[in-house]
Amino acid sequence: MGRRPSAHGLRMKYTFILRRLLSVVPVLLIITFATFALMQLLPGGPLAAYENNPEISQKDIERLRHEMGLDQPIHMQYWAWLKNFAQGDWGYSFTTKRPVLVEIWDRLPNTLYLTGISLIVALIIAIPAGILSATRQYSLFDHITTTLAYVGRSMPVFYSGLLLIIIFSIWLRWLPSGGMHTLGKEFSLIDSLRHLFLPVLSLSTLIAAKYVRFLRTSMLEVIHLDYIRTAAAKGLSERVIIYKHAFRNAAIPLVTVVAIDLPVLFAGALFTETIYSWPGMGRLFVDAATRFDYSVVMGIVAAIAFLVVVSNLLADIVYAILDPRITYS
Amino acid sequence: MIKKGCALLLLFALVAFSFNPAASAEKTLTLGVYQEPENLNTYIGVQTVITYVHKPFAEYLIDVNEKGEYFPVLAAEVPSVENGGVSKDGLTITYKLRKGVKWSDGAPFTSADVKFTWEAIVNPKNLVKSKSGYDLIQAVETPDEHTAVVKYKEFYAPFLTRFAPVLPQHILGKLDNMNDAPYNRMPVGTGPFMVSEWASGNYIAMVKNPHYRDASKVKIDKLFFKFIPSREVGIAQLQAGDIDGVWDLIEAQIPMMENNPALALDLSTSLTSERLILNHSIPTPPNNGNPDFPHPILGDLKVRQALDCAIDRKAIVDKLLFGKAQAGASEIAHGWAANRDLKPVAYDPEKAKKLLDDAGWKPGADGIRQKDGKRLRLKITTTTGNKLREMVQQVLVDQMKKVGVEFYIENVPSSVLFGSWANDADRKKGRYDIMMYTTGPGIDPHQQFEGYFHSKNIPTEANGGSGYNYTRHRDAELDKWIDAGGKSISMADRANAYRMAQKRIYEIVPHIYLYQRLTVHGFRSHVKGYISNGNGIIDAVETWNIADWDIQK
Repeated sequence: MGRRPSAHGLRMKYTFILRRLLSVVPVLLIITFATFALMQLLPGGPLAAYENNPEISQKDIERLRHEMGLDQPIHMQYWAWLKNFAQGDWGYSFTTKRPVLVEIWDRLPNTLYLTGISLIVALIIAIPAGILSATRQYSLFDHITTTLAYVGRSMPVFYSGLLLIIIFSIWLRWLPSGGMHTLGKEFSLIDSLRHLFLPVLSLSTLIAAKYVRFLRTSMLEVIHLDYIRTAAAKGLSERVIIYKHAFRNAAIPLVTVVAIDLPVLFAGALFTETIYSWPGMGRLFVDAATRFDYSVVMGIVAAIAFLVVVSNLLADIVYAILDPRITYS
Repeated sequence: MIKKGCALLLLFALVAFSFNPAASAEKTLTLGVYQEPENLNTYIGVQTVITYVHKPFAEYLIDVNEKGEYFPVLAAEVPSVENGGVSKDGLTITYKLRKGVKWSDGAPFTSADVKFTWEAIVNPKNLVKSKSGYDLIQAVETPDEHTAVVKYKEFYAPFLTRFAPVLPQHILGKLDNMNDAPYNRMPVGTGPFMVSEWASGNYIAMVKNPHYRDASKVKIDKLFFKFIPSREVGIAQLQAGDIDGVWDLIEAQIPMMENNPALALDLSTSLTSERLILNHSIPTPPNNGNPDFPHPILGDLKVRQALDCAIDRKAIVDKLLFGKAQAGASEIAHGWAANRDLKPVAYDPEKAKKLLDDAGWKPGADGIRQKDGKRLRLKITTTTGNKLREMVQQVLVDQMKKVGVEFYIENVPSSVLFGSWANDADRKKGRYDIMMYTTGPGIDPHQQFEGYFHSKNIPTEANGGSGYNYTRHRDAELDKWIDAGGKSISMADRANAYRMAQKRIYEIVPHIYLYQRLTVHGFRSHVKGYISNGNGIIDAVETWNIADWDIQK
């Protein structure tokens, strides 16, 4: 498959990748500075919770402000953060006083577990469903799939999730309403899967609905192209035409969307995590933001920004593998 | 391919549905909390949830029971002048310590731990949130293992509330500072339980403390504090039976839970009350917040009294709080310093109209009163996003209209309302007419009275904006009673002083008390043994007697 790239082409490829990687630096600078500035513009701060407590005197608040370095000018605080960050020191959380990396590391596996499985389940559902509903356009299957995709896409998780909990946990009592496993019990795979079921159902429905619609549209475009008709005229079986010739081309937009979604794996799914009390990254971020825990927020934002740039690059590379006509420039 | 996918999913579903884990013989109790504690060191962390979670392992020298009385925990008795624990000048407090107490790692609890607690709090390297009281201690002497003598430089009236909890010297004493000590997440305490695991974002697990002095009495084997994102999710998990208790519900959630026989509600009246805070000084620049420039409307006592009796508290409690709260009357709702002679101001719109007439505010063409061409129009501010408060505001607007007063609502986020002097917050700078929010005293009311009601605590440029006298009232008699409450070593005299202070507040109306907040906890009905306690040294929390809790299916 594909042509063998020339030496010139290879060099082009590497300079392209290098250039794209270097572009991470200004992007990170802009995003982290904007985040930092925006957080400073908000009223309140890490010490806001202390202000309404008669037990804590103004003197104590001023002392803490100084000890935490919050009395420094904003640009100095940002510079201090940036300097440490560049050296791999992500700083300490203002509230838990633990290293930011430890905070993230504690949550990341939980989030990857949930989002990773959801993405795989979503693809398993979306790819065949998308292909079939395109090849059998206007069939009953197509109508059902399209309708479900619309419903799945437009029903927010904080609604559908609560509905699922009410049905499966409160009425039927089949599945637990939240958490990663039953507290106080030995770890067991079955228990873990039971807890995984509803969150994965919610999250993968949402993702699959989006992918089905993408795939259906691009399949429809492709199967009406001349080369597919040619392939059919050559007498190739429908199976080969659809999966080898049509799908390969129709998958390109899907690959882009999936690749761009990858940072979400890391960032976590806020609503799903909240409804099912899943201890993941999404909740860490929101908790940190509401507590004005600057260092944690900055750490997560920087990491996601980096991943967004990298995954976009990844999308472009995969793109070129799937479609040799695309060149790097 | 589809078939395969479907089959896999079906299989997964079957497996997942068909195995319900069997109940084990161990008694496990899971309590839901909405916030993950920052840490479990109350000297550093500021959230209420920390108090709730730390009670099972952390113990105080003295604690407070459900009647609002002090009782000894790590101390053998509550020191008083009568039993010789408090010196005549009140500067020397002698604590006799309970014998045979061990930390959960087996090390003995001694007077050295009490001494260390003070040292840790005043250590400048530790980022403690408050040094109140501890900074007035000159020395802690330890004549023997079971006696700690605390010597104050000057009299500190709420001395019984200090050393809550006591820190383990043998763990923390070795460290340079305790800011990121392992203790803060994996503490060592003397209470009935000990922390065994903290899964970040997920739960804190506790097991029985084998070295607890009454270990055989403790019935629960494992205790989990599960972090739940919101009250709604908490109620769903409680109904599903995934958790046994849920912390800190709001009054409006009571009706939907009351009719479920599987659930039990635990209601206690807290010491905090929802109130209106009336600005006595001019709210507009350049003299905003300066008590020498009185508020053009609220500066008049008659107007404040009129507002007070124009409010139908019963209607608010019955309609918005489902009859579950109590109408507010004074700063201290219950406990040893409460003034029970004070009753909620009666709803009397006719009296309100007469007071306003007397104050010179006459009804205008549209029914709103006027004086010298100025409308009786006041801004009422509270925190955004609190539905109950917003509804109360609307009821107040209606009730005020009936007596010819125009209230208009302008709410701000809590971080804006409760901001600091440096952040130029309206509350600190006195740029408001009326604020509505909840606050209240601890079991020792001194900090609250001095902070909110003493004339020396008006936030100004000169004092760096410290103090909570946001109404900016100055009343010599009130100051006198507050000072008396802070000076006496006799609890009876102190109680009397605070009662007189409450009476004076009732007369001069800096705050209008709307209703006492309820503390609402939901439990599965198999949880037994909890006792509602609206009092507490730091915060009133239900877990104060968790050693006595049980699960009976």
